[in-house]
Parts: sequence; C-alpha cells; structure tokens
Amino acid sequence: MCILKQAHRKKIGHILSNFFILLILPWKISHAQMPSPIEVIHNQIQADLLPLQFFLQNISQQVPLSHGLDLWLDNNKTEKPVLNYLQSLHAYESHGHIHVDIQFQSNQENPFISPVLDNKKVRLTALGLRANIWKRSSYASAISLPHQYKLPTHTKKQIEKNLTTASTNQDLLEKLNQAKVQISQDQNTETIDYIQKQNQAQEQGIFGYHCTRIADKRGFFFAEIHYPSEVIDIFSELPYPFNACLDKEDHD
Amino acid sequence: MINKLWYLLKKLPHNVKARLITFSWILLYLSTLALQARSLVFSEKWTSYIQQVSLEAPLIQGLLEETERQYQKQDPKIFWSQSYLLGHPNHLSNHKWFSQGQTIYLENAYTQLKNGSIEVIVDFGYASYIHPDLSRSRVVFRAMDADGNPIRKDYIDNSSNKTQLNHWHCYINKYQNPQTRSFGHISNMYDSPIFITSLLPYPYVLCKNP
Repeated sequence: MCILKQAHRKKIGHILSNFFILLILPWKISHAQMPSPIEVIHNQIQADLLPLQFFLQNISQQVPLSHGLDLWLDNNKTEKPVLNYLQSLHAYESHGHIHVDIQFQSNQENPFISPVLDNKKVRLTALGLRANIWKRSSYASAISLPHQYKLPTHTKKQIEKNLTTASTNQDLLEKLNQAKVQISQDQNTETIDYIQKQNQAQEQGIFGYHCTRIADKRGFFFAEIHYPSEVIDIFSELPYPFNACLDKEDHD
Repeated sequence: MINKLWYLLKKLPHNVKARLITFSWILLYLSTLALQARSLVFSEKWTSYIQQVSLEAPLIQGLLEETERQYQKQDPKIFWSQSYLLGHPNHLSNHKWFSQGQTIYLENAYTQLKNGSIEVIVDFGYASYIHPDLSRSRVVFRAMDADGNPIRKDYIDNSSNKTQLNHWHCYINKYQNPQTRSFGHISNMYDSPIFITSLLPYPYVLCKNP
C-alpha cells in the first residue's frame, strides 16, 4: 500500500516536472529568439523617440522667437552621447521654411545599428494648417498681436542676443529659461504673456511634418527592407514622425 | 455525467491516466501560447492603425476649427448659399482642403452644407501602405448646438439670432457607399471587429460605436 502510494507520488511528481519543462522551456526559447528585422527597427527607433519628439516640440516654441532657426542635437557635439541610434538632429530655416534633418548613425559608429537604419537620412519639412509647406512670412502676416503684448525693447534685444548666441539645442533651452527668469525678476507679466501667446500661436501654426527619405551612398532608403526577391517598405508601421516618410529623393 | 466520467477515469490504468493528464496540460499550454501570439499580433495591428490616424488628426481639427470660424464670421445667407464651404468632394478636383500631395493617409476632407446642416466629411485614402482597416474609411462630423441638436439652415432662416456652434458629433456610418468602410473598426479573424476610437486623438475620439 505504502509502495503504491510512493509510486503514485512519483508519477505526480513526474507529471508536474514534465509540465514545468513544457511550460518554461519553450517560453525561455521564445524569449531568447532573435528578433525580426522589423522588431529591431522598431526598438532602435523607439530608443531615440523621446529626444526627437522633444526636439520637434522645441522647434515649435523657438520658431516665433528667433528668425533664421539653427538648432543642433549632435552626438559628436555633446560631452555625453544623448542619442542611441540617431547621429544628429538639425533644425534650420531656409527661405522661410523649417526643415529638420535626421541622420542615423553608421555601422562604423554603432555596429549594432540595423542595416535598414545604417547611415540613413530623412528630412522633415514643417507643414501648416492645410498641410501646406509652412512659411514664416505667411505666419507673420497671419498673427497680429495686440499692443499690450509689445515687448520692451531692451528685454527683446536681450532675448534675441541670448538665442542667437546659443549653439546647441541644450544651450538654447538654458538661454530661454534664463531669459524667462530675467523677465519674471523684472515682474514684467506682459512680456511673459507675449511669449506664451507667441508659443501658443506657433503651436497652432505647425501642424505636422512632411518627410522625405534621402538615399544613402548605395542608393538605399530609410525603412526599406531588402530581401532577395522583394523590397518591403515599413515606413507606415513606424511611429510619428517616421510614418510620414512616403517620399524619396535620390540626392541630398 | 461528470460522475460517470470521473468513474471511468478512475478505472483507467495508471500509465494511461498519466498520459491523459499530461496531454491535457499540453493542450492547455498550447492554447495559452496561441492566445499570447494572437494578442501580440492584434496589438501590433491597432498600434499601426492609431499611429496612421494620429499623424493627420491635427489637420482635421484645423478644418473643424476653420469651419466654425467661417460659420461665426460669415453672414448666414452667404454661408448657407454654398454647397461646399471648404474643400471639394471630387477626387479629381484641385479644390481640396489639403494641399495636393502632402497628406499621406488622408484622401480628402471637406465641409458640406448642401443638406442644410454643417458636415465635415473625412475620407482616408487607398494605398498598399495604409492600414487595411483604415483604407477607404469615412468619418462624418456634424455641427451641433448646445442642446445637442444639429445646426440647421432653417434655424437660421427662422430666427434673428445665430445659433452658436457648441460641439461636433461624429458619425461613422453616414454616407457610406460600397467603396467606403466604417471607421474605427479593427478586423479580428477570431471574433467580431474591435472598435478603438477611444484610443484615437481628437476629433476621432468623438466617434462612438453605433
């Protein structure tokens, strides 16, 4: 009787151990599996999405305050790299239009980068209310601020000086904050209102970005996976702003 | 019935019983794996849908705001004399609300006044890169007053005071045709389609399942 019970227990133990092996082993294997190329691209883009979105948001705030926008977020120019797979973000103004160049790292700089992102470049162009290419002059004429929001000349000059001397995005933020602190110290509420109104108006002004993919030296484009028999374009599955990258350009 | 099954199970030899139990565990495990895979595939499906809709949502918000501005600003007689206030329903027309070739997922959007109410009609495009559940889908936003009634042309004619446009109501099954599909539904091969507009940005979040 006792032997029978022991045998029964052994069997139950055997079943349970089989169950745990069945449950845990394939789970471990599935988790240790190599991610698919699409998963790799998603993960690598996700890694830099927050700084990119912050950068784009920052552009909307800076545009009304400074003509001739020139903002950089470059891994080579910062003491500690802030971007994981992106090499640089460069926002600039050209003929009143706002462009943002997004450059991915090359395989030499980062051996882990996906071949689909390796050394790829995309260019964003700011769009207005009707998906039209945003232009400064049209914006300036569209906004007429009331007289009470006029900035005192000395403060305006100080802010402009601070902004034009800033070389990087980080600097720009610091300088802007300094300017705001100085203003609040002056207890000039009208000035703060002016900046807030400007920012608000501009946020309404840029409604999104048009994105163009620029071919690399080998003629390959961002978000295209090359298989022997076909090319799969996955841009539309990527997060904003990369899901706007429909167009392609052969030359920079 | 259960007692009978239990009795039969008890009568089975030990080795057969053990195999049966192991087999049932395997079945249970495999079904769990299948469920996990299914939820993963499904979440990827709706993430892409949300991202595509979200990209150009601010443009539709702009169209609603501009329509409201025009309604407040224009003389009612002039306002209601137009069939299409902003944009044009003809795909070949150059009078689209959006600049040609700049939108990726939106095919067209326009404000229609010809039915005596203020309606903004939004059509998503058809291309291989557009999410299959999103392509050729249509949404209609209708201007409402504070009481939740549609703003109508006859209200304007009958009263001297202009009714204030209070909010927009979204319809996902209005003016559908064989070419258009219902907006906000993600097809599900195992079950009925899932309605996800609560996860979408304004103004699409206004759309409710009919």
